[in-house]
Amino acid sequence: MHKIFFISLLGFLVGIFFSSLFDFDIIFALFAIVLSFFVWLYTYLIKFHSDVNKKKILFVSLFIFSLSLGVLRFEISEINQGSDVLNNLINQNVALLGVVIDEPDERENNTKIVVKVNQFMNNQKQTPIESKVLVTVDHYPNWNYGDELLLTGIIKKPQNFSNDNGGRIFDYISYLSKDEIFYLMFYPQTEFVSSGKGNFIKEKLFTFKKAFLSNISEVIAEPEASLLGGLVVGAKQSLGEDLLDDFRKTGIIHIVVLSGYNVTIVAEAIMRFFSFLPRAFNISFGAISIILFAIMTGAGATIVRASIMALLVILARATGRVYEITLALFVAGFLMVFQNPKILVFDPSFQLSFMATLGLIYLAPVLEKYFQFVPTRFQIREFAMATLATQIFVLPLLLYKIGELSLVSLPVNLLILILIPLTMLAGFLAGIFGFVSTILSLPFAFIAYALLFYELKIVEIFASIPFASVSFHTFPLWLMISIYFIYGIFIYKLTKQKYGEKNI
Amino acid sequence: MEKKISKLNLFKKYSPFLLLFIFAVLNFFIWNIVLAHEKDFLTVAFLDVGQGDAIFIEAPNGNQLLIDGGSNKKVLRELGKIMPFYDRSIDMVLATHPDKDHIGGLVPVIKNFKIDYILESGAVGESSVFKEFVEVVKKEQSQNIFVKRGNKFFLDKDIYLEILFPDREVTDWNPNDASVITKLVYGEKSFLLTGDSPQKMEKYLISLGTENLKSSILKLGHHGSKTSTIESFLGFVDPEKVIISAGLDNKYGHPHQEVIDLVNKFNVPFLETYREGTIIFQTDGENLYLK
Repeated sequence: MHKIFFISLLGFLVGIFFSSLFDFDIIFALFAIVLSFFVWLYTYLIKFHSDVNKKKILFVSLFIFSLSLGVLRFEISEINQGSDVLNNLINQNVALLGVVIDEPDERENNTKIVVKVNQFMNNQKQTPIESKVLVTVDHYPNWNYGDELLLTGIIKKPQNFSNDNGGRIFDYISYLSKDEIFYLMFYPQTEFVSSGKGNFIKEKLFTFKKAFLSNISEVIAEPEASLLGGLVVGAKQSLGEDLLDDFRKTGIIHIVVLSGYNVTIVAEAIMRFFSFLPRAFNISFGAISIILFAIMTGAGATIVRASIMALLVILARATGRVYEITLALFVAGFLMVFQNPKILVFDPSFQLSFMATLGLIYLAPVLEKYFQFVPTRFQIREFAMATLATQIFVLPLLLYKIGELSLVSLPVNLLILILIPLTMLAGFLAGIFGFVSTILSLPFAFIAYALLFYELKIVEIFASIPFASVSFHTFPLWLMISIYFIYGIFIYKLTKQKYGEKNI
Repeated sequence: MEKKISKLNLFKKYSPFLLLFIFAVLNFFIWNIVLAHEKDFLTVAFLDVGQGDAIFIEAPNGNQLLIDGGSNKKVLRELGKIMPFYDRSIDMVLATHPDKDHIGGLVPVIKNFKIDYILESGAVGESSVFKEFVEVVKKEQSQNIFVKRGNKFFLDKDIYLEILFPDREVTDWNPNDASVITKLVYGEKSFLLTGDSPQKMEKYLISLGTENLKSSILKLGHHGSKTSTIESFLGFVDPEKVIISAGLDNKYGHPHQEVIDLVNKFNVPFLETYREGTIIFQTDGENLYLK
């Protein structure tokens, strides 16, 4: 039974994986379905010497069938290629009416907003369309989630680009298409039409978040305030290129980039931090903070996915049922990919949080016996295990995607992560008390500042070490896949040892 | 149940260490505050804000003045480096003129810091940044002043900021022409800050009188653009050092070679923010130190 489940899951994912990389079409999927049918039929026509062989052929048939379903699912997601009206107007001046459907992403020199366009305006004539445009605008005026805007400017298609001189090409088109964004506009003339066109609850949440962040910036200096904003409410604020570079070099960029991966890491840190409390409290604290964080960030698809995975880790710890939780993790992963097949290949955040979760569930407990020399004081041993486990599991992926290996990542992560929960707590209280009075929030702000100052200092010191990071110009896909394959075998063996044959 | 209790005990056991840690941190901050006030220098810092101007000034008595704020939030990070962390107020802010690379960063500064006085040229800009600037100035409970030639703002007993331009109403002027030109004076040492004033304004300034142009430090007008800095102006100012506040590889090509050649002709050393980062001067009125 488990085998059947596993094979169909694998087939489906492989189908999605290959159709993400190569250009299949629906005919191929239909062909594969027919093929699987014939393979199945084959088992009836031929007499087998043993049942084992028959079973194997049936599995092949099942695999091909689920693979074709994967291809089919991906091809269906490809049907939406934007609006025909807009596709005919690329590089032309257009007037579009639409609503800001996500929290504006404030960068150093501009702001990026996602606008869901619903009208194309042409000489007083309105044509209803439905498509998302990523618009780059000036910092001011400040637009908000739910604002209805009239945009006049040149509409463009995104282009892939290489983000370093090494020639590593970033598939920007696919990256945007996973969110069904097919168009870009740069600094269009932007006119405010109305506000309050978004989801009421989300609007209130974002308003609260904005006020919260402004409370923080009033009492805490930069860049500490921006770092805190990212940690507590997932604020997308710029820390500046130099500092971001240092974070990258020291392998702790995940705590500032709202990647979903940080949800896993931070949730784990919170659980460790509260581990002096009775277990029921500890687990509820962990779960509540994850849910709270997801809500505060605005519950975008990325964060919701990561939060579900993080909750599974907590569940694994609470119940100790590693096998069932892994199953749940794979089912959750499957459902997420089923809902949006493009995330499997084009969403680094999904991949990273999945791998980090897997590492925490499987590798962390295994590492225990090698970590006996680490003191248990302040949960240092557990932090070390969790850090190493997640690092090992995301490393091949990071090497493939970014090509940078941080040699100081382990000590930096350990030194910083251990204080992240306390930082978040102090920062959260500073922001909340800021609603009452600035004076009241000051003591918490000072504690938060001291912790943030320390964290930034660690990053700065380690980044200044020569050879803090090594970069690879190419890290081939096959190498990454083989490494994960080896991990897979390793986990399989390990689980077998631990839980015996019957479950697998 | 036993395990839970032992965990709580563990926490109790280590709480003295935690307390000790907190006190150590507090101690550090308190000494930081005490030592921060023991200085008798005027500090003038040309902040590295990329392409733009931002000059932070602190008098020995602690009075602070920020002239322009660059184009974006980078100024907040630079201020974070130079100001003590608990200091969330700046006494006075001067916006030389309503261009983005001068007031863009002032918007978050005014939002996040408590400002007592906001000085402006009076020129009105058309950009969305200027509209936002007007909004945040309106919200801030500060005294707003349109400066005029002859105004002197005393930061400390012998330290003042003198306004050299504008000498009239400049409401609908071209922003660069309307730039506030100031001279910061402490004893024998002085800093001439010209915003983005073009050549014709330098000529005009000379025609108003050359006796108070002589300065120790000159911030080159308009980020070292060739539209500023005429030979005679540089001659009358006769600076010891020249500052160029610009961003690396900026799209305007600032500073222009013509201006660099002119400065070299006068044999004046120059410092660039894009090469040095933030440039900090300290002076006691007699000596000038580069930090």
